[in-house]
Amino acid sequence: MARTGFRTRVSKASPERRERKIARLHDVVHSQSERLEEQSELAALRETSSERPLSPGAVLALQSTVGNQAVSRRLAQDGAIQRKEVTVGTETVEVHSILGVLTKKGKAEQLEAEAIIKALNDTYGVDPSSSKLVEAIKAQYTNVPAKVTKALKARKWRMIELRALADALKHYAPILGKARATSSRGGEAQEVVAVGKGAQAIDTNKPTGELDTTTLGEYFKGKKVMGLFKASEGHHDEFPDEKTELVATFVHEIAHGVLAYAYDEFVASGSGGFWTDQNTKSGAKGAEAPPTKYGKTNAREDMCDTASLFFITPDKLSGFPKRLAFMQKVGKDWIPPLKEAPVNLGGGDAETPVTPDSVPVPVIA
Amino acid sequence: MTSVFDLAACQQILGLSVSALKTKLDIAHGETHEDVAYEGLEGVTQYYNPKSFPGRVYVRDGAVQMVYVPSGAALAGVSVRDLTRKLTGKPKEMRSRAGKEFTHHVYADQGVAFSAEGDELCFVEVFRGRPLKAYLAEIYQDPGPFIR
Repeated sequence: MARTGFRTRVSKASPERRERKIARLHDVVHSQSERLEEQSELAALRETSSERPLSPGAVLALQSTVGNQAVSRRLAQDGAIQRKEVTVGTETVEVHSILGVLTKKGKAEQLEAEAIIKALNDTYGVDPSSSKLVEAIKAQYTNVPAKVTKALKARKWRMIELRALADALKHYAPILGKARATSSRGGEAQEVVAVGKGAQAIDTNKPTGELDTTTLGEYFKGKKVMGLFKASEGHHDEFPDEKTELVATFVHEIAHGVLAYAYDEFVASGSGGFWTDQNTKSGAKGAEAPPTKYGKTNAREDMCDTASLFFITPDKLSGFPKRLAFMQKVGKDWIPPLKEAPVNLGGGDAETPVTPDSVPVPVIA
Repeated sequence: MTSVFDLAACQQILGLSVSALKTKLDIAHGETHEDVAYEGLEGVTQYYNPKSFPGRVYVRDGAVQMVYVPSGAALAGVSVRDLTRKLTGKPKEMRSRAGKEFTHHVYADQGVAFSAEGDELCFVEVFRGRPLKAYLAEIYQDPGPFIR
């Protein structure tokens, strides 16, 4: 009865109201889907094999006969379940919607995006700004034709990327934002101050330079900005899934900024004798080879890939004792010995002191 | 010997015997690394004494194969323009292992290659002149695209 009445009301409602109801229905479907039996799912699949688009009324009729998951599947088949772009701060973020209307999940994603973006600024001193990314690329790639730099575009963030970014920044928390002041890096300005999402990067800083389709992420030293690019969407090679790969890409790009001070130390003691200098392999037999193929490009890429493995899958560094020891030392060095640490005289607001033993903590993101 | 890059001095080293090289570098007070590699050159011995000469010198079969001058003080006062003024013709431009924003310029027949970003030198290679094809096969190693 209730279902019949609901269907009648929907059929008389305005298109906008109908869409909202469908969106609400989808949320219900989502929460109830686990209760569906296998037989019902199979029946639904048989029932929904048609390529014709369904009207909202037909959608509800289908829901009443073969089950909620059938509706969910059919909405997806019709392209009704979509990603809607919302604005958070200066950034465009893609969240869940149906027929252009934010679902509960979409609203929750928007709130989450707002929280992440606020935390990036407040906690880590990193401003999410894709327009700053575009400007940083232009400032660094000065020899490419103007038509190429004019074609640079910001791109919408996906939730998976914002979550990965937040996870990546946690690994550098002791030397970012307000925490940096009490670290051994406190005397130096923070090397990453903005992050953006871009459609494409540029392949080379020459008059022949053009937009590329291969750059996953890049750090732009001149403006202290790091970028993530469209090529990273759906990509993973070193790590088992896209989310982990994204965290690794961010950890890698952040390292190009905040760990650049340690490049020479990495060459001298952290790379197991593999590098003569930042650009040149030693060619020594028996040297500890980089743990990734990309790390063989130069010592800087090696160190940044090593940082990704150390923070995300430290077990993968178990066969690379020099690199593992180097990263452990880097993390401990961030926290000055207690006798040298600045004394907080601010009263009751002091945070719990961070001890050398607590950093870094290699955590699976 | 000066600690600043000097192309003529590097080219002169290419013609030295191993014993003359050791004397010139005062290698008794420097470093010797045997059976190493420089990019595609394998089985070479590296001699290095920055107090005598800013570059690393790679030797094989009794002859100097490569003089490699890394970034740093030796190249600080030398621009791409300074260097190319002593070279003729157009270089072959290759991907540089130094990074995406760098270009590796190869004057293979004149025995000079260098990586630079704009007018700023990153490192210089001086070797016996050879056809480009030979340089690419024997010395150069493509770093591949920089993706992150």
